[in-house]
Amino acid sequence: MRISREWLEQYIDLTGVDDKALCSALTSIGLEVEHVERVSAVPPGVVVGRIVQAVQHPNADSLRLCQVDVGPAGTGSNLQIVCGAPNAREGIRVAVAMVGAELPGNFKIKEAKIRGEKSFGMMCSEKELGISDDHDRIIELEGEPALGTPVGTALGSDDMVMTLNVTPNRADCLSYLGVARDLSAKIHRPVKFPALPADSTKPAGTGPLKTSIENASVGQRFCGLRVEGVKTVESPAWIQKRLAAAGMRPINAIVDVTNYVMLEYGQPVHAYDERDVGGKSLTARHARTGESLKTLDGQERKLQTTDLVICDDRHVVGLAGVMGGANSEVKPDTTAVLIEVAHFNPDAIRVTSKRLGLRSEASHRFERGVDVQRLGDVAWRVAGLLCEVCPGAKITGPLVDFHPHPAQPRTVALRIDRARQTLARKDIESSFIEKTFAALGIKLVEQHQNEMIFSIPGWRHDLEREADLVEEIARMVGFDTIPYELPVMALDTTPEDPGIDFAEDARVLMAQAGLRETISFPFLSRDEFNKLRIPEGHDLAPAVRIVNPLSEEFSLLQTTLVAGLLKAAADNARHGRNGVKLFEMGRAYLSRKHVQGALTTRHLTARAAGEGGRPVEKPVVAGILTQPMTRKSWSGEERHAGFFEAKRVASQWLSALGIKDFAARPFDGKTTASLPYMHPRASCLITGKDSKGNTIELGYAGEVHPETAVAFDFEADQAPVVFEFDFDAVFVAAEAAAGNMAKSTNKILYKFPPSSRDLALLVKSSVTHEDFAREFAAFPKRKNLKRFRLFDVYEGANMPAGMKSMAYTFDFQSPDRTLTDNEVEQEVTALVAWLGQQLEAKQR
Amino acid sequence: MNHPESPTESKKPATLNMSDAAEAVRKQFAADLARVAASPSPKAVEELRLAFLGRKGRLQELIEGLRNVAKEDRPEAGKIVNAVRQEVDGAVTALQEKAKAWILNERLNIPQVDVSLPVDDSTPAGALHPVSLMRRVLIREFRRLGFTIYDGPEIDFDFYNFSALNIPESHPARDMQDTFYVAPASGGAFDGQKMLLRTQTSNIQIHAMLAEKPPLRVIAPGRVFRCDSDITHTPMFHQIEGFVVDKGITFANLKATIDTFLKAIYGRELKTRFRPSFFPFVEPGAEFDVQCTICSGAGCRVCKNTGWLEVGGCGMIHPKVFEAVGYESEEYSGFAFGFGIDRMAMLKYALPDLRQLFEGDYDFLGQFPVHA
Repeated sequence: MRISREWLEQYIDLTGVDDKALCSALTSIGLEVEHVERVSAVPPGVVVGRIVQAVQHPNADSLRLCQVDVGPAGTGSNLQIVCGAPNAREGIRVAVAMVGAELPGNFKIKEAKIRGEKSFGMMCSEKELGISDDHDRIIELEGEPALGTPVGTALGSDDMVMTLNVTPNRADCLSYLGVARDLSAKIHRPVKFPALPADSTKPAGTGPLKTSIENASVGQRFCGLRVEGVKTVESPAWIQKRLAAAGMRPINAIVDVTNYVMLEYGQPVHAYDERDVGGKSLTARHARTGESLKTLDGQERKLQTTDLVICDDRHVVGLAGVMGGANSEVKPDTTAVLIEVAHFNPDAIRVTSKRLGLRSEASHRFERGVDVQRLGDVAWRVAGLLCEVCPGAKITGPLVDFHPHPAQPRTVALRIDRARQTLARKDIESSFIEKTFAALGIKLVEQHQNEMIFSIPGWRHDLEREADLVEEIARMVGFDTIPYELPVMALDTTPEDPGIDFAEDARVLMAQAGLRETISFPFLSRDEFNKLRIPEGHDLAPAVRIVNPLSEEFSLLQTTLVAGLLKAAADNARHGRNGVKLFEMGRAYLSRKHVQGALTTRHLTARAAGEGGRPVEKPVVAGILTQPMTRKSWSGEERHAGFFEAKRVASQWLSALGIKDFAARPFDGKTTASLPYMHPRASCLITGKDSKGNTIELGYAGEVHPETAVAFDFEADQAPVVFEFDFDAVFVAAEAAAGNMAKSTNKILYKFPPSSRDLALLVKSSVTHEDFAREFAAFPKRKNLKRFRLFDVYEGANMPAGMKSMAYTFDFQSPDRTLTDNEVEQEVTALVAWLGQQLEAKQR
Repeated sequence: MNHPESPTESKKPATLNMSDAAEAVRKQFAADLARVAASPSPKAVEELRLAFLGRKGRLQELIEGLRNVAKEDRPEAGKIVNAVRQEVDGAVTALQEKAKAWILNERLNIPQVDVSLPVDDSTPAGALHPVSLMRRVLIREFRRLGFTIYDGPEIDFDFYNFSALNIPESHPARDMQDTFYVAPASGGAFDGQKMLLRTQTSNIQIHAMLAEKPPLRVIAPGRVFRCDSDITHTPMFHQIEGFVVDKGITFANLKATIDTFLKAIYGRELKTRFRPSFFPFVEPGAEFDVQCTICSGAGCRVCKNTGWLEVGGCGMIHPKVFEAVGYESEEYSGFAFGFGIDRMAMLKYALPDLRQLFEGDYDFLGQFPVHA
């Protein structure tokens, strides 16, 4: 809501309240001043001057030849200006439009010769400056404003226009009177209401106009007045200026008056050309199926039965509360108007204006609620103002008022001790409350010991219960007068999901593994699912669709974070940034039927998931590494990030979380299908153990499927590597690992040095490191074998076909002595025999 | 130097031979010693030692040569060999000491390393997202005040996001938030209830109040969604919700709690301000500001010359919210607050554009630390 200080001052005396104080007073009562604009009514180049000499024009009786001092605005000597105004005389201070100034109506001031005498500028009347309609005399400035200063400043006519952020509960403050009223309660000055036609001048008897409302679901009240003798002239300068300040375009006197009063009272008003209203009858009702209306903006609108319309005795003439009909609008030859001042059902207006995308000043106010009790006053104000601006206009006929069920004002009780307690202001007195509320129009109707009962005025739809009145007190005492007191509470409050801390640590550890955290929108397009090769019906097919997406690109929720990371990586590649390492923690939105297991551990997510067929929001963490992993540098060659780099990062992270007992398994036929965007042979599932020792799936890591890589603009042989973990499963594994630690931690410290032996073992190509690890663990004659490390894998030349060599270093160590060579050799021999038996391994 | 004269040299040819051999070894050693002593690296000293004193060294050769000496001459020859051995041994030991000093000196006197050479970038330091960094700071400060962190659904029913928060279907407050509604992508059903992407983390108020009993002291950071996208709005952003419920909670408690955490984040010297505002789930409702961190309240471009930065909304929990979760609103009172994390992070790191936060630009993300 744009509020001009000049206009606001029509309703409240702001003498002595400077602009800054006004803004901070409004903000302090909840009418936040978001923006301030200074406007000058006077165009630039119009300055204060003093008539030093005024003599008769030698060649014209009605003109005077004046010498004018404009101080520093001039060239040093006085200006000669020819002037026709009767009040142009020596000594007065005047508004001088200097050569080059441009006055309203594109009137550019030039050097001129008038009846043979040169004139350098013009002394202006109020009309010439657009201040008022006075054109009889030039402006005489009061006091002694400094010569050469801009006249706007000297006149004090420069205005401040504030943009107030009026919250949706305060429909009443979408008006000057509403703002003035709130301010009045804060600064203790009365509100000055506009003068309404005196009762004695109001026509009595009956008139031709009729108003009605079909039923209570349409609206509560419909007032009408008839004014004849109106003209669609330009409205007076003061109305135009104020409307412009409020951000509305002046149109003609009739329309401008309706808008002016709307801004004044917050009540939308509509004027119909009487000739277009059949039967001089206005009825508000629901639209009928098939009806349509061409609205004032020239658009043909198909109506629905949820819309409210105004109709005459035959057809629809307006879309109630939203916009008038073109068929009944005020036209240049309009001479008699019917004025509509009504209440319409706010919900219906809201639905219609939303459906049609038609947000008008009127609908905005109707949606938020108007003051039913004051419709009559508003009608009289409109009619009175019309008579004022259109000489010769007169109100014919009485106020027509359809108001079948006037409601009693609502009453709300306030307990003083409750207010004092809530606001921690024990000193608030009932007399203060009463006085302040009275200024707001909230009347005390009853008072008991501790309880005050108030009658709520019709414009305050937001005051429903005690808490609302407590807020009124808080606003008016000022939030800044409420003390600061930290709450005193029990130390143990709400229990916390242990996964929350774990997640924060896991995030830091992921960054410490060398990845940068990114956050992307979880929205994907169908096309992106295609790029991931995820078919319809797949477990990872989209489970949640946005009904009203920003665009098709943003219409589905992700089921894997890899998609967002691939997009981010591709964006980076487009900007020439390769070798990126990114990770993200977020949620995969999955269908409930595809998810089981780990998520039962997280208390809130789990509880929510049990409710009403919600989709599952699975917390996941994913990472991506693009090629090359390292660029060529002085210290090394360019390196490619293959499967093992993904596995390395994933392993490092899991280990840091305390999870040592995890395994990488190749995809089998089933899992290949379940992760269609992963390379079937260069990817793995990563499994861990829960606290019962059961194997659980933690996630996967590896190279992106070449088709997916190409779809995201990577070369097939430059596919990024990625990993993704089910965060709940990782949490379960970490909890299990923490539990096992107590049992398995090595309490024996080995203080005697180990003896190491290297063994190269020839095996079939299909034998894996995991096979070896398993057999080392199962080695029955194991006595002192402490640890082993794979240091070489060799396949190819000098190797029998289908065979490979795997070379391990074994450490033999005893906690209580240094082992002899003999002991070690015996165990090595036994180990070689065991591996020969289990894996057909031969020592090379 | 200590060259033992042998008085029996001429009489005992075998001894004489041994004496010559010993002399040759001594000479050889003297030459090698001189060479090694010029630059006594531990390696060269060890080589010298092995060459003379090792298992296959020159002295071993001499000792083995004693076998060929006539028995009666052996004691004499043995003395000669032993003398050489002692001589060599002493010199080597002395040289080993020198070698220790030499290697220290050698290591210290390396050429200046070009410390400006870039390090291998195969394991660069990672980074946390600025929003995560900000959230960590917030969580830390609220934990100090005894708050519990709560998590909850991003896809939620209308009830939790709106109606339980006193925002009925027709409420004009819904205009303040443009909501994404969701449906099953294919088949299936969410039980016919209206589902949406939460527009505010306030839904956690309802979840937490239904799940727990007062007293409550909770914060809930998380992602929220609104269908809005322009230079200052993204369809997803981050909020943090906080609330306290207990007997006798007052507006003064609200002010002090928010003031305490804002001062912890922005500094003790900055003032905080509370202005009346409107959120349907609080009454009285307020917005809270902190003095501009750039100009300390003098007025600048960042605060649009107001001297204040808007942080968030807050207020006393509306009795209707308590009624929606079955809390006795006469017995309990509480306050709630919420604000955007992204904007706070932007201010902290002086980031000009909200959208940068969600573009995944590797260089942009690389500016931030792992810890805050």
